[in-house]
Amino acid sequence: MSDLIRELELLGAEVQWPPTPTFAPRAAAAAPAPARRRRAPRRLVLAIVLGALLLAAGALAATGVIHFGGATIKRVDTLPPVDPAPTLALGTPIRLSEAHGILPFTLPSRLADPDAVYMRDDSVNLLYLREGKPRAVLTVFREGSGFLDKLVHTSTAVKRVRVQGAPGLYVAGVHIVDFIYGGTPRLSQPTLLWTKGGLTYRLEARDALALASAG
Amino acid sequence: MSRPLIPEADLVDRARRGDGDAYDQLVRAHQDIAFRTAWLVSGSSADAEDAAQEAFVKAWRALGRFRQGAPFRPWLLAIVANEARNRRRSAGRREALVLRAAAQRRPSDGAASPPEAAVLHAERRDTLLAALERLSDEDRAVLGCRHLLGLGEEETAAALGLRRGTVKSRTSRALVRLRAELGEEAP
Repeated sequence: MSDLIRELELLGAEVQWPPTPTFAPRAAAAAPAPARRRRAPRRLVLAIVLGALLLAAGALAATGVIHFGGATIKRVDTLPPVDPAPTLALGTPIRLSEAHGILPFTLPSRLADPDAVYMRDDSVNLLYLREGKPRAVLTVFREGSGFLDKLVHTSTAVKRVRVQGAPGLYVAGVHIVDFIYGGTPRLSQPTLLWTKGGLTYRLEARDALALASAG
Repeated sequence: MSRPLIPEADLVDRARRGDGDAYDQLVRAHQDIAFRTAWLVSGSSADAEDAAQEAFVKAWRALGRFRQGAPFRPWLLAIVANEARNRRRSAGRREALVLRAAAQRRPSDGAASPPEAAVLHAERRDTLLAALERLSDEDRAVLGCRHLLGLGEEETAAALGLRRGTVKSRTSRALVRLRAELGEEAP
């Protein structure tokens, strides 16, 4: 290594770098820069318009309330405290055939064989285990029942998706289930919602998209 | 710069699966180098802050496309530097590099003179800094990334949007020009 390179490296340790600001890594982007005076090139305008259209098609607004099937998702700046040790109160155990008699649901192939099935308040819960521990919970309920409220932080990504051709919403991050069967709010894993045949499906699992998309 | 206690690969894996806390830890571990890289590229603290903030959000949204097992920092720095390039200001408005506690390293009137070697040392740093400031943005950026920030060739290539070979040749040429600014002969 030359002396000059060594000197530069020593200099790097003595440079007064601007202090690193506090970042919000998952928050909405910083405020836009002030508008420039010169007119934006046409190609740039076109790109912005296309970008906005793509955004509208894929991601949902960063604020407000989203109604989807029987679920309502509210974006908030501050999440409330949650139950530190929630229990999965899924209802009364029933057979899968009985559940089909209550609600006419269909299951993606990877979810076709639940480890346990429950009924609660006109909804059906299907539990999937891995090594004896809950891996995924699929809840099925009728659209428009106002059954489920979710609270998500404004930084949480909520995206429109398709689940086997049906419209869906994917809440990517850990968020809060504010109300499902009442009780204290609890933290939820990434969740996929989709609607099909007048029913709303809610799948909570780390790999929800992969589980629901196959078959 | 603090490093995460949990292995970075684990944090990346968790973040890819939507674990926001894991991603926050990753950003905390790399935010200094990311912000400084953005500052070197954009030439402005305000632009660097905007660029890094925007880049962290974009990286979070793009984690699904991150190649598993790949090093995280070059990938993040590439996004940061790209945002910073989009905000780069004209050369006339660029903030200059300054030395930390420069005033303390110079003897003030009436103060005891530091040892001669230390004065020479400080003067050499000032000379070096001034020579760096006279270089083109391109030369200063590559020397800044490689030798002031200590980024590797691959990271510098990602940050500056260059091929690795170009980083090598550009660094070499920038060192020649820096020596010329210092009035020195090549070794």
